[in-house]
Amino acid sequence: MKKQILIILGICVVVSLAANFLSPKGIPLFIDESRYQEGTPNINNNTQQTNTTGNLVANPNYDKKLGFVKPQNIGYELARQLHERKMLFIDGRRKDEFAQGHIPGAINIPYEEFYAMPEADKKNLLKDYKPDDIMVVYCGGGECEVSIDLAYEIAKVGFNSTNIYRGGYKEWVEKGNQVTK
Amino acid sequence: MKIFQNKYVLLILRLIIGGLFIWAAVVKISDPKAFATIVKGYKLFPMWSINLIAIILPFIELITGILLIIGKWVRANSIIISILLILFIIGLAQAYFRGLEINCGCFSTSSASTPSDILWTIVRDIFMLIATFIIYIFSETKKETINISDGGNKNE
Repeated sequence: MKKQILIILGICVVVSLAANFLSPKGIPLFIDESRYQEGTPNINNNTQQTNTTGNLVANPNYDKKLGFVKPQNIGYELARQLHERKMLFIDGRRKDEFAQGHIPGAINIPYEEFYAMPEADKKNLLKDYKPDDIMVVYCGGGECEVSIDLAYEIAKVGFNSTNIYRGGYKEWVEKGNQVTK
Repeated sequence: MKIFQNKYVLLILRLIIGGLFIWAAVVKISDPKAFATIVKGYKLFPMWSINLIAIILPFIELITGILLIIGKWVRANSIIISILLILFIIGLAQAYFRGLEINCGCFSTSSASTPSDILWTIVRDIFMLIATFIIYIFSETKKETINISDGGNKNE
């Protein structure tokens, strides 16, 4: 019976890895941990960096493998400061969640919808913003990761100052900040 | 206890447990990314293992579920399923006592769970575990086990 158990588990491992490899919804075998760590926020003037070197590589957060400037995680304090400075806040939750309350001034780009769009539509949706406009993407807070996913999608279409506020709406409310309903 | 020696009772238990496992697996396989986030939410596993768990676990559920229903290697499958259920119960219980806001991720990858949902899920898993024990104990390979893949003939 021990042999049978090992055979079953072996089949499961092989089939699952093969299915994950072949599936369009497949995920990487290992999580990129840097997605969750706090780095240097993308709040420098990236345009100047581009001008002096003529190349975005000069941006320390530019990731050669990904081909864009990696979104960076920021904490509450910086998020609040950027909000005071009227930087663009993007709420990645669903429309109904956004309608129930959000950070004042934030625009709503539901991740699922954005992800499914062709690249031209994504660019068109964000046509009012410049590539180096500082952006703060957030979602519900807690374990929610839509903010990370959305920030990467936005960075992918050429926005090089995207930041992720993982504390999200939940922390924003807990800290006693105003919300828009 | 004699009722459990009835091969049809055992077949029904196998269909129920196998069916639930297949259902749970299909939901997870259809959205591996969401399931990975749920696994992460349990705060039990190191980061490097999260995606591997999210990829492999649903297929263990799927394949053991199918094998349990068709009646192939019933006892070996019962052992794997029991171990999985025990792990699920431990995972849920620790989340409950730590007050984690988790999504159980049992049969859905979307809805969030309240603490009472978690308790109810633990109770459900315990019932499933008992049913699986019954299948293990009474599906002795030398006795009659209905093997669907064999057209209902005796197994081995």
